[in-house]
Amino acid sequence: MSIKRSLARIAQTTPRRLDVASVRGALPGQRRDTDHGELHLIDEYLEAHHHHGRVPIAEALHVSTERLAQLALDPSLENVDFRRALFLDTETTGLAGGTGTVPFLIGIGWFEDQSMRIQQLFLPELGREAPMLHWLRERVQESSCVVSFNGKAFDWPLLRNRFVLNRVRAPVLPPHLDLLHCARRVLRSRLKSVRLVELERRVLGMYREDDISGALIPQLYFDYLGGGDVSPLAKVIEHNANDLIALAALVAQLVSHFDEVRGADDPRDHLAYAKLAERTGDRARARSFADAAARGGGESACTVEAYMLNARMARRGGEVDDEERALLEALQAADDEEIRAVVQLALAKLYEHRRKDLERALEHAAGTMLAEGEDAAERRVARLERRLASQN
Amino acid sequence: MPPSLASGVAQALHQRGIRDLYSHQVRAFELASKGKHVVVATPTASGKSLCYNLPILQALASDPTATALYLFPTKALSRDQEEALRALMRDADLSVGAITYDGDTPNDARRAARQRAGVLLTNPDMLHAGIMPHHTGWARLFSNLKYVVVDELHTYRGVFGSHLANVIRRLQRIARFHGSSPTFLFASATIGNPREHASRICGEPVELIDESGAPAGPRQLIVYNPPVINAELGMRQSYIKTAVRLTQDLVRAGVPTLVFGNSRNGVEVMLKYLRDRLARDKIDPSAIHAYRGGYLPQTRRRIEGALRDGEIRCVVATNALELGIDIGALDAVVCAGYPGTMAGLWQRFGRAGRRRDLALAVLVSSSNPVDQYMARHPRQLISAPIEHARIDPDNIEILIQHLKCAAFELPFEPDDVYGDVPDDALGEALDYLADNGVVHPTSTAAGSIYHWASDSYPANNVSLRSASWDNFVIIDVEANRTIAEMDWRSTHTMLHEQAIYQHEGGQYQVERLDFDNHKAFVRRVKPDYYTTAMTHSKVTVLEQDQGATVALGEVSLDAALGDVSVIEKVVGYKKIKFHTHENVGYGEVHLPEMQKHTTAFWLTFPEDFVQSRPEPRAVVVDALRGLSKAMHVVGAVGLMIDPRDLGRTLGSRNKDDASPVATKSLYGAPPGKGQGPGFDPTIFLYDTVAGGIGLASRLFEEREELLRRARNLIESCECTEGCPGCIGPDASSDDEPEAARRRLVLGLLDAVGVSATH
Repeated sequence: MSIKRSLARIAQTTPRRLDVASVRGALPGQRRDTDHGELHLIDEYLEAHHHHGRVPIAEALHVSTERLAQLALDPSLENVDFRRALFLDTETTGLAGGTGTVPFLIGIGWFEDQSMRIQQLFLPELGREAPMLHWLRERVQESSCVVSFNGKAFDWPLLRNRFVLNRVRAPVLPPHLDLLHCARRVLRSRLKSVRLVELERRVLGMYREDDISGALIPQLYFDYLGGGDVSPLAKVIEHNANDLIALAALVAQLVSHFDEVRGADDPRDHLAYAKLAERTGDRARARSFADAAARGGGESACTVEAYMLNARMARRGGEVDDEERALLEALQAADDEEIRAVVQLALAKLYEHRRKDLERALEHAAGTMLAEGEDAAERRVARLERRLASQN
Repeated sequence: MPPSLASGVAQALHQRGIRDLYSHQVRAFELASKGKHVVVATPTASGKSLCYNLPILQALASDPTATALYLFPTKALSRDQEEALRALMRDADLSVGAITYDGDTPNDARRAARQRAGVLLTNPDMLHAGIMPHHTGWARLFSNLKYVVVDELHTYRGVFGSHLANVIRRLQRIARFHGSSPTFLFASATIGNPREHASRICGEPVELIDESGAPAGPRQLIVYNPPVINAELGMRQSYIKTAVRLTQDLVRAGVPTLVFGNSRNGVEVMLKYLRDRLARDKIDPSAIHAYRGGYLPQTRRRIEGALRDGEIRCVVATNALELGIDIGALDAVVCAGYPGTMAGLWQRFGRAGRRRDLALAVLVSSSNPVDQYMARHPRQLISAPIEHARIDPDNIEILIQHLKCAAFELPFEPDDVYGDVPDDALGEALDYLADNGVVHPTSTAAGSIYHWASDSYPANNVSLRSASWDNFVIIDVEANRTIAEMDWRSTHTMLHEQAIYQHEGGQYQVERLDFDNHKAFVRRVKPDYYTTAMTHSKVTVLEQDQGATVALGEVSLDAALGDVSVIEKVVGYKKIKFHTHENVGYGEVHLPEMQKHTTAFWLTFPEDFVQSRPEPRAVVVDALRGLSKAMHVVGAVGLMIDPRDLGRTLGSRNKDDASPVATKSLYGAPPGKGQGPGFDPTIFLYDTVAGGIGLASRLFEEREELLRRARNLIESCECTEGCPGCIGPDASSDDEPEAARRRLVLGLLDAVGVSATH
């Protein structure tokens, strides 16, 4: 079978492609000539006091970068000038990744004084990415850091592919703050989903109206390429701009609530911040967030965990009284056998090794079985009894 | 040693006791170093891997940024080679590493592979779905790519080979984009056309090295035809049992022996018999082991190890061992049945005598026609040409799938090249994809550029190994664990409900087949029988491409070539008693039909002619079925192909009166027997590979010769009434005179003017 003849046969029943000459509406934005070719650019400023939900986005200008670095577990963010941060989000022809997935709308945003400036680079026709990529490259190089949502795993690898494919030198990426990972660490214990829309509703108090579903976006672009209506793309452009604004609001929210304890926050958030502070060695902050979490009136498991964290901090600081107090409070708050056993194990060790109070150690050792297993618990009791006997 | 060889590389060879290279290794080194594509087709154990390793080590020694890509057909092979290659590279003081990249590679090693590997070992499937669609992340590898090694070239035939050729076309496009133009180094076991095959795979001329400079010990070849036990029916003693008896003698005499069967079932039956019999000689059953593709990797590794250490004295295998895994020397090979191809037979025989001592290779012929043909012409084994590996990279279904993947990888530019596909055909294929909305053309002054424009990852929808169906897992319900996997196509015949599934010498009955979730649930049983499936196929003509008249005598026949739809269905199964091989029962099977489109050659006998014969219509139709069988045999032998690559059926060329798929044929009458008058009986011979790889068209071209050779076969057969070696045993009922059947076929051939060639 020759290729042409076989093709003719299988092609008989296939649809013809849309007539490209059909009328198109107008896209938002303008064409702009650059050194590297023509660009389709949507360029706008937000007002200085723009709020996203209940968060004034300009607060992002004042975040503590020390806290930001802790939140991201990334020391390279500590000394960045966050006023020169670049917010980045792309809309793509699919989620599959790889060389065949094209970002057809690259949204970038940054602050100029108190206002956020948003530029969206739209790909009017496949194959004309080079001017967009040059534009993006310049913006990235002028920035102190890049802020994205899942950009480490998705947007940036995709853009890096585009730089290689279009033979445009990729910019050296400054520190990259991926808010998906930050949001996960802080909020996953109380939110089932940490998708951006979910975070907007639950954390920022923002409810988008008439937002387009992400799953439909690739097809809308293909329809446009095939000569279909452009008006649905205006919705995609608006969706992308909202995502960029949400990034600024989210970073402001997550960092400012980490900077100082806010009594009204959920104790689970306090606990998550306490753990973050513990991981980054910020013992004082860990203790104040753990205190807030313990006193927040949350569920027993959260309260106990907060006290235990506090006890841990106190032990590392050599503050035995504080450790003892925190553990006894944890024991009181525990409403579950297994959790009690964990607390009692910590108490048994405290009394045996630091307080040298073998009797009280023995009292608690009686309840550690569920935490360390039958054999270990029996050995512990036996050892304590032996030591007590030799003392007397 | 070539004088130009880098001192580190020479030193690594010295450490292995290699002072001189064989002549073929030197030649490969010289050609490859000049950038010539090379195929090395020398016998097993002649040091083929050094032929491709040396030029690559040399390249890495002189340029530490250079890279090479090794392709092996299985994961196990790349792991084996990785170890050896790493040691060689270390001893040659090379600073770069070799890394295997496949589905089992952990994440951090994947990163290392992208960033640092000098040699990347992988398989075509991974290259196709895991590497090339992300080639931008492999820019270092592709932009410095000096060599591509394709080992075990002979395994890439048919569909798999046609896929590989397209994978290579894509690889060449990507390399071009990154500014490299790699040299291809192929290694192949014996095939008839290594140079042509390699050059079809890479689309460019290739230098052939097929003269081995390595010594080889003498080998005795024996063809053993089991004795006739029923002369009337042409029945011989079971070849399985005969192979078992011969093997038993060898093992008893302390000769390490490798036994090959042609099916999984055959292997398991032989394993059971061997263990049973050798137990009487106090030989531990664990010294006899099975080895086949369906085993999980850990099991295979364990067997390979035990074989090397001598704990295992006999291995019963399907062709899994053909793939060059190093199991050391074995003194004897017994093939139970001809594997279907000369190349396959020699790959099995090549397993005997890896040392200089005398080795033994035995072929026990089955009652299959091709086997009997070989048994009657044993000299064929040493004089007949070896089969050609055939592929069709332009098979439209395969080509279109890979063009999608290629467009995903890089847009097609106006001057783009895709292997040796002509520009206009490439343009039309891309327009076809554009019409279907998966690529989007943009116009430029030079012509259209085609961009991938779909929200999908096309490589995930293309499986290189078969028609893209997943494996089924086989779960032992008692132990609640997976014991094996099986390819979708075998499922219908091996895992239907009530089937006896044989695994490592034990029997399991299939209790439930969960078709949607690709699971078969089995339970260990101890039956005194095993099962074989009965299948039926129906062919419907979709379109005739070429037609011709065969007018050799007073009656002329219509011959044609065209596209057909083939529906295959498992209609039931037989229970076969162990040891006696009696048929002890039947059962029904309810499974979905399998449908495919392919190319067929067909030959129609006009109904008027059938009616004009004095014999009853059903008898004439049955005789034509016998003729089709003979044509199938001589067709497969003539094309030097595996008979399983060619399908055969008798039906009607008209859609309307096509007989329904027979389901009530379990109790005697063959399928289609009830076909009433009014249709023109038609013999179909078709490519079993979907889309076809060109076998049917060769048969169409040689149609008259095919009929003459069929007559030759029937006339020269020693049987009286038709036997499995010619037109098949008589399938008609007892009241019809059997002896007439063979004469009738010859009479029909007389009537249409087919005389034997002399």
